[in-house]
Amino acid sequence: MSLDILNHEPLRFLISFALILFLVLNLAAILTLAERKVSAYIQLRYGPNRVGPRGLLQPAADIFKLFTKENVSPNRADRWIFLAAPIAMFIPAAAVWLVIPFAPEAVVADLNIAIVFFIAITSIGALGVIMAGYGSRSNFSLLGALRGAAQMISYEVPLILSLLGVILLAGSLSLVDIVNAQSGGFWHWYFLPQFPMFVVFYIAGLAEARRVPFDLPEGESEISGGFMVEYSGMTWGLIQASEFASMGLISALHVTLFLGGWQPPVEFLDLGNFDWIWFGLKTALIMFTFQWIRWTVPRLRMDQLMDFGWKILVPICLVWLLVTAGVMLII
Amino acid sequence: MIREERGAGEQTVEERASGRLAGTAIRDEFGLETLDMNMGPQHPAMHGLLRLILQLDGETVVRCDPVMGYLHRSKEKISENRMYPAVVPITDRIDYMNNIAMEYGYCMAVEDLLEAEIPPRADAIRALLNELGRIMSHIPSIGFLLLELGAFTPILYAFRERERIQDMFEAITGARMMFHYIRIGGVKSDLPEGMPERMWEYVESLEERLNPDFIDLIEGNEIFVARTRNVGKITQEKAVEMGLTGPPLRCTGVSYDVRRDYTYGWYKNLDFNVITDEAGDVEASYRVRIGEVRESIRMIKQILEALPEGEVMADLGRRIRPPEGDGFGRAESARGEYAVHVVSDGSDTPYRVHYRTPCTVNMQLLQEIVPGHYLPDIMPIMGLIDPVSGAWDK
Amino acid sequence: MPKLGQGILKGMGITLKHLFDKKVTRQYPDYKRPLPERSRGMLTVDMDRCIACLQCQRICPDHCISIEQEKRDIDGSGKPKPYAVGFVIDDSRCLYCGLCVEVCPVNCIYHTEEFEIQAYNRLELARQFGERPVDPTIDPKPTVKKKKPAKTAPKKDTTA
Repeated sequence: MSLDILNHEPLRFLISFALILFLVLNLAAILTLAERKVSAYIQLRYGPNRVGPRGLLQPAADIFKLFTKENVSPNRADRWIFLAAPIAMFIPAAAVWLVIPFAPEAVVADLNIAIVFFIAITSIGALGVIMAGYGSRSNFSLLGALRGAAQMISYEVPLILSLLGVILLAGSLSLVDIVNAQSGGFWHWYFLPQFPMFVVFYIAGLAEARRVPFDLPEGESEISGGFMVEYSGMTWGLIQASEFASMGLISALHVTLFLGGWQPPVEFLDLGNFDWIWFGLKTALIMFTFQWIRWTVPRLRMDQLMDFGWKILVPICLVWLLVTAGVMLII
Repeated sequence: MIREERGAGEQTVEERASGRLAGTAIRDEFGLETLDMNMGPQHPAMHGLLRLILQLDGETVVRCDPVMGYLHRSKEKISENRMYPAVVPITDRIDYMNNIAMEYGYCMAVEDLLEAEIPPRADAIRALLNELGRIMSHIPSIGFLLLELGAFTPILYAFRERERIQDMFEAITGARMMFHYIRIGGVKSDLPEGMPERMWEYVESLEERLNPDFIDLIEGNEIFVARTRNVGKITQEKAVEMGLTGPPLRCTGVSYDVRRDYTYGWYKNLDFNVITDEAGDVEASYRVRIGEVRESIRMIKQILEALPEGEVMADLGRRIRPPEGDGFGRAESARGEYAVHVVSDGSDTPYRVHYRTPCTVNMQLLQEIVPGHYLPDIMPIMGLIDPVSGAWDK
Repeated sequence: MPKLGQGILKGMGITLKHLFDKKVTRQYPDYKRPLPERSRGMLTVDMDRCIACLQCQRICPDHCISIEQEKRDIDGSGKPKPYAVGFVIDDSRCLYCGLCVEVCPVNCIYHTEEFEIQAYNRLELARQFGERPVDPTIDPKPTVKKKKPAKTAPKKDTTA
């Protein structure tokens, strides 16, 4: 049977979108388990090990539980905004996956402005946080939403600035082009010439994904859940899924931009059609470091978070951007 | 005991907030309002059941009113209706993180009434367990401080230690938390076979683990330092004026410790330092606690090296019926000075028992120093005071 | 901030080391650790030995033991002796202090190693040992008689 139908553009797009959605939801489930296992092993525990062999079916049990739970909303909540917020958070996190190149030919939409698409769509994620916070009408969630808005908008700046160096080097806004420009061994990857940007993107990505030490909007011990304090059942599950999806997304972008995407570290390890394994391995490694950091460090305070973003990350980006541009001008 | 050169004067709320407050002029012009927020009694960071009524200007706390009493179990009144020995298990429940010191204080007060002589071995075992109890309380309180700052891991390392100490306590006393081991006139029974060796082995291994798990992981961490340095700053005058005791007092530099200044039991035979720190902020209290754990390990080793032989219970007769009068006992619990006043009317039951728990007094600090800090700073300040719900409400 | 990141990296080294350490969890329902000899579990009564002296009922801080006493000629000597027809231990009140075990003159009340106590109803926690059930909801009357306050009042006023 030929796969010609895949060449019909709308159909191909729909099928790919369904596949991406499937992947993102599964990723969220797998990451939930990974998160719990990593935390448990760091904390000298075993983690979930009752459902299925070594606890592998735990995510299924979790999702089943979330689906059967009642979806409670506060009496005074703005019901439509309250219910729309998880969706507004999840869709952007899932949509950006469309432009991520998994392997040479495996990309849903090879946009020539993929990076701009990424920037535009992730900004909408902040809207979801604000909607959730205002919609639930609670002091705690209001504080969480305000923190979330301030944090995600401020950290967008270093995030975007750190991309510019890569764009300068590759001379393209298309992610496929950027990956192709990094071919031929790991010394061609952009994390070496762009090391400060690599670090800044990592830190700003942590903040965009609202991970510890930047989980202020959630602030478990201060505002006891922040913007998601009133959610329960599957709406809460959707927020969690979008958090994990955006964490995976940031890792995938990090790999694509700085660690050579699907490119193998040395030439002879080229796996041909299976190069997506390299992509997966690198992404998994970055995601592991996200979790590793989460279970090691405490959380920053709001003013320190802002200071760190504006007074340290942004100047580093600007300086290195100038250096990159200057070097490129000379060479 | 207070140093000659006193620290800088007390800060006002505005000074502490240093420009974070909107100011009345701006507030009036833009019609800004403060936000009233009710934190607790059910809240993950409130060390039990505490309600804080906060007035917020942005994220800055303008006013903080702690409301206590959600865990009041009328321990003092119950104690009036129980026979003298039967009060001991009730004192266990006052400070449930450091029970052994609670028993110790009460038993000392009744022994003061009876003018009883305690056998030296009983005294040594009491001091031994008291120090072990201090480790058992200080290490989790460091963990709780980190938990409230957002790091989840140290609390589980802390509970690993607490579990191991609890295992030893279970072998000695028969229970994991509510020991009921120190009795009026001594201790319930001698240490079991092989326990001194086991304890020695444990404190040696704890010394090894203390460095990576509770110091390297925490002390140098930039985020920890940023969150705790200069947060919850207490001056010496303020600390003395508020009647603070324990680590919150010692972290300001006032060297006061009941074990040394009003020595009791076996402590007069021991050589130990009172750990103080100059800074008087949350980081200093963390350092004081770590230092005290080290001192406790030293003391346990000293006691184990020279453990006297003999009886562990003085003969006070079958019924304890003290003469009329009053007895007073004070002990240094992990949270500060714990004192018990027992008044006897000559009957089987106390006429009146008063427990002075350090938490009740130290908690008063909250409304004094929280205003002017950011909302997330409340949690490290709670970690500085490290109160226990059962102890402040009794 | 000259040393930015060093402390965090050090901490991350420690957590990475613990990732591969031996785990300390005890898988509780599967593995039950051996209890020490002295551990205080649920109470049980050997009714054959009980002489109904009521000492345990008197000492109990939470009045969890109720005994119904009756004079009965047990050994056939023609002299009726106290006999416990009803004996209830209310585990919902018991605080496991072990005072009753210590005062018992015939060692008929003692701790077991059992510690898993749970029930859907509080009354199910009241365990009956005698031939006749005793109502656990009735608080046994305080057996301690409070002496009237002495004429010379306590020296100090302690309410302060």
